[in-house]
Amino acid sequence: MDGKGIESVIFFPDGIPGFEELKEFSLNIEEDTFLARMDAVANREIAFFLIRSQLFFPEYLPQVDLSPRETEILDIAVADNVDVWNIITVHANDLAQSTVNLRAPLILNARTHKGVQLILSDEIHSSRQPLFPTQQDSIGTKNDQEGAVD
Amino acid sequence: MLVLSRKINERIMIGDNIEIVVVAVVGDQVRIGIEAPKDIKILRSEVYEEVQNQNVKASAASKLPEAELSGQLKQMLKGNLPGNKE
Repeated sequence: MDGKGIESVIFFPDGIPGFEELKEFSLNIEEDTFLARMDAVANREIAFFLIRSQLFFPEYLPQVDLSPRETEILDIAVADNVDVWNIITVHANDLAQSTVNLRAPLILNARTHKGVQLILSDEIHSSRQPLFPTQQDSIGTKNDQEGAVD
Repeated sequence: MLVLSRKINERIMIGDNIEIVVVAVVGDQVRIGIEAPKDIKILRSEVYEEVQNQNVKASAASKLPEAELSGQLKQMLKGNLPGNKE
């Protein structure tokens, strides 16, 4: 799925949390490939900005444990390209306050064009991680390891 | 619903491969340890709701003038790419 201005339709058999009834989303990856936009095919009013978080948070390496249902949906074969995107919540009045949901990454299989939004068990990742962090709030700096999976 | 009383470090088996242990009780908070196979999803119940709410918010915010927004966002993000940091 790398390249310039690529558009493809991704099928989410279970929808995504909050939009469980919407199964098809068109994914438009911007030229630079770190930003994308995802629109619900059935309702273009429902749209998301996505980023490839690993580029901005190199330490973001989520431990992905798929449930049987998620394994079935993604149907990942050894040679498959699996894409990880995270949804941005844009703060239009002050873009610097925008956040990214690291807790619930979108996992897409580029071969089958199927996807799921995973909710990670590991609570170290925030659903409202500042996208432009100040010095104080780098990721994974909770006081204790509450919710960490060992 | 089955209700059981347990003391600290006492355990409960669920099926053959899930085990729950009461790790600590402090005031009205109970710390619970859970051992289960990796394909069993374990979440605080409110987390799914939190992700639902965040998705709804994210979608509402994306309705704003798209071209303008994505242009500005892209510029800011570009500046934030590790390679571009000063």
